Amino acid sequence: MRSLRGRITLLAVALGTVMALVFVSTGYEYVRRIAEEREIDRLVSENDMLRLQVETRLRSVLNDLQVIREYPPILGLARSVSSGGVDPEDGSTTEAWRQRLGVIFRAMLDARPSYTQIRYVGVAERGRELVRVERTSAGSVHVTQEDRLQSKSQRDYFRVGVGLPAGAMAFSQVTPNIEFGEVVADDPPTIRAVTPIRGADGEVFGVLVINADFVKLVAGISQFERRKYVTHFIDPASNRIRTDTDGSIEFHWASEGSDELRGWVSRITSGGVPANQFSGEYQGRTYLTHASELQLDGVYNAAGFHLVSVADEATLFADVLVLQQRMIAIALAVVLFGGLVGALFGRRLVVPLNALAESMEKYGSSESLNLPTRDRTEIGGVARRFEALTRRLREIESAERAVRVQLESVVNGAVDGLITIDTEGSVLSFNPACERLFGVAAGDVLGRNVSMLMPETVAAHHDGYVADHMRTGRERMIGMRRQLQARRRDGTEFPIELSVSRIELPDRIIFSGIVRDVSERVTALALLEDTIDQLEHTNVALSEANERLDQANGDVRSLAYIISHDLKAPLINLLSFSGELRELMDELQSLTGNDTPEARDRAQQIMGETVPLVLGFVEESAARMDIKLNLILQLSKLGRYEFRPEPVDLASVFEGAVADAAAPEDRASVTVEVDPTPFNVDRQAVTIIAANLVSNALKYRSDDRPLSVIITGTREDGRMHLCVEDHGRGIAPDDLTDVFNLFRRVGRQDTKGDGIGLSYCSMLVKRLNGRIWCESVLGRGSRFHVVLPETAVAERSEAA
Amino acid sequence: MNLQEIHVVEDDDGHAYLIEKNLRAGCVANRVRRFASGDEFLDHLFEQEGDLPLLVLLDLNMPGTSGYGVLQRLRATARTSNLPVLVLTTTEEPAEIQRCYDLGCSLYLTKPVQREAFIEALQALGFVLQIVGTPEPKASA
Repeated sequence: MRSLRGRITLLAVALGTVMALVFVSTGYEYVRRIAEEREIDRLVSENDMLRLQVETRLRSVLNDLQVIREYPPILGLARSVSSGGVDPEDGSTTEAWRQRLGVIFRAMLDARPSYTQIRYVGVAERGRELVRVERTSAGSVHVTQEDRLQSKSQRDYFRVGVGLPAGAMAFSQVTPNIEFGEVVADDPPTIRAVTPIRGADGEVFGVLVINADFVKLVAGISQFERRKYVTHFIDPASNRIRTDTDGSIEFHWASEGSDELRGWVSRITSGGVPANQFSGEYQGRTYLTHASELQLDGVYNAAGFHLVSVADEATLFADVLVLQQRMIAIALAVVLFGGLVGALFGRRLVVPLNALAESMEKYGSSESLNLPTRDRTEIGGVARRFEALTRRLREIESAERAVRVQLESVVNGAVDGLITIDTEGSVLSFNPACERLFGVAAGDVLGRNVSMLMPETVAAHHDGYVADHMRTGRERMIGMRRQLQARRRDGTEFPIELSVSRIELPDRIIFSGIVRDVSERVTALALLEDTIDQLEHTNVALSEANERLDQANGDVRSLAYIISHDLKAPLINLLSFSGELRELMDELQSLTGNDTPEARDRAQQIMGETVPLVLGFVEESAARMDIKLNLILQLSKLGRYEFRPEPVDLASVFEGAVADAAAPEDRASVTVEVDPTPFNVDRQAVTIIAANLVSNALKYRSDDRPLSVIITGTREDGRMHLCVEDHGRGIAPDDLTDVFNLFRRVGRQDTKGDGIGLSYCSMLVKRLNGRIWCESVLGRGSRFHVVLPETAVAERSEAA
Repeated sequence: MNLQEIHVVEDDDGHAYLIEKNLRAGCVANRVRRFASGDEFLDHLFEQEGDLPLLVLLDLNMPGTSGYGVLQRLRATARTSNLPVLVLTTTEEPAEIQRCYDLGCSLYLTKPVQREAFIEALQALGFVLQIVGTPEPKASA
């Protein structure tokens, strides 16, 4: 059932079947249950009705017995018999009573077709019948002649009757009619109603008996309308009357029938089958039975009469079975109809679908699709969507075509080479630029391994690189621009710049490479690198020179400020006081010829005090300027001084400095521990430095501590580290930066000095490419350090 | 009438003479007291606990404690932190001028080399002081 149509049909049939099954089974069950309940109701009610009727019939027999018993002749006869033939009360003879009773009995038998005999049986003479009226088998009623009367003392009913209390009544068992001790085979089964008759003395005189044809007694009850069920009337001895719905009636002795039947009957009558229940199988059929016991209150021997209504299942549910058959028929019809409709509908549905599918298949050919877009069902919707989709697809295709054409023209027209390879390294595309670059036609490369375009050393590893990338995902080449060697067809190698991209296509991965010939660039680059190298060298040299120049400039600038200040100060004095002198001169001239005492005093003051004071200032300033100018000249010589390095014993230099500066009594307080091995340096420069440091250490001694100066000199990595340590006054932290400045003197101004010594040292050390610094604690002493490099001095001075 | 003093801290005798003379010429009536070095001035002000002057004319380049040192000390002490200090020096180096203002000098004057200009500057300073620095009693006089 691959086709849609088949599936729809199958679905309809399946649906129909399921529905039919559900419908039939539930419907049948339901109807059956309803029917069963209804039948049980009817069974019970019918049984009730019949039982009432049977009870009524039986009661009417007793009723008749009671009526007869009350007739006066009954007792009359008893009196007459007891009294020897004549009733003492009214004088009637026994015969007379007999005749009267015979009339009464006859009338009763006439009125009751089911009665067969009415008898008055006396106790005396072994239960001899006193009066007996009977119906012959021909149906006529006659009073039995006296000589035909029998003794019945041996019969059950007689005994029962005699044993009853006064006024009580009883039924006897159903038995065959027995006359003169013989069973009368043709006579019907007989039931007897008995009641005792007591004489005036209270003793039992006799028994009144009505014989009834058991079957006839019950026969009438089968006549009422709408009877449905077979009914069994069962006496306490299990003799049965079976009445059928058609009115037919049968009597069966308890001894008749199979053991199974007897068992069944005894089970029902003994209460073994509950009322209105199925009694189980009998002769392979299941019967529904309802048994009820007759209620004859006040009657002796009346227990054990049962009325059993029986319905066999087949007849009971005949209607239901018919219904079931009809339902199955309808269900089958439904299934068939469903299948048919399904098939038809499937066809209707499939035809346009097939048409649509056929139309869709035409997509791609030039034929018009002719889609059923106007269809109002979902098929129309599909068609419209498909149409929209094809429209969109065509747009995309044309756009793609345009892009492809563009791409191709870009690739073909590109100046750079474009190669694509697959993960195996096989060349997939090779553009014209590549053909030019590698000197090989695309046709000779396509499908071959790209390593043919590489120098052999690289080619051997290329496949491995690609495989590594595919396995590990590491990107050595991807996304980067690399410069590599490539190989032309003719074997010549040339530098290329290669950038590789990884392209993930839906079904596989490929790599694209852009190749650019960089031969010219490589050459140009090499040239450029050389030039840059040279430039860098020059630059370094320049910046070094510049640095030195900057430093020199800085030195010069600060020197210029210092000099300008220190020279300005006396200059201001010179200018101001010479102006002052001119003013004083003018004043003196104006006083000349003024002979007042005030004028004389004033002139005297000017000449005697003011002018000498002013001149003093002028002289002092001029002298100060002279000193400073000399010092500056000395410093300026240093700038032009050319160092001449030579091996110098620095120990002897410092010892000489101590010998020059220290008074004889101070020399013992100065220790010189300088490395005496020759050190290449300018002798004059170190001599000046040593002289300044030593004289300062001696000069700025402490007032309250004995003099102690330690001079050390040690070699460290080709440098000489000199240190002059004193235990003198020390320098305040704020002043430490000032000590090396020109003309600056710090601390207590109680010694002579021009503020140039350390400044001079500093300049010398700097020119020697060394370093000078000072550590000091005020009141504890100072340590002046000088570190000088060896030999470098000569080269530097030349470069400078 | 007890006018506040003007203190001149100047190592150069000639300069000190000229400053005082020209302040007088600028009609400054206050007593001008000269200190020959920064140490002497600081000794007077802090060790001797001398009265605060109306203002201080301070030279920068002095042996011993320089003008910077004096300025720093004055500004670091609560009593003298608001004392007007005029730095009066020959130096024109911009870095030095900036350093003085950073340390909190009130005004920086360079000593003009030309005599007339120097005198003019000092006299002008004298006039300025008359206006800004004179206390109440002087105004009533």
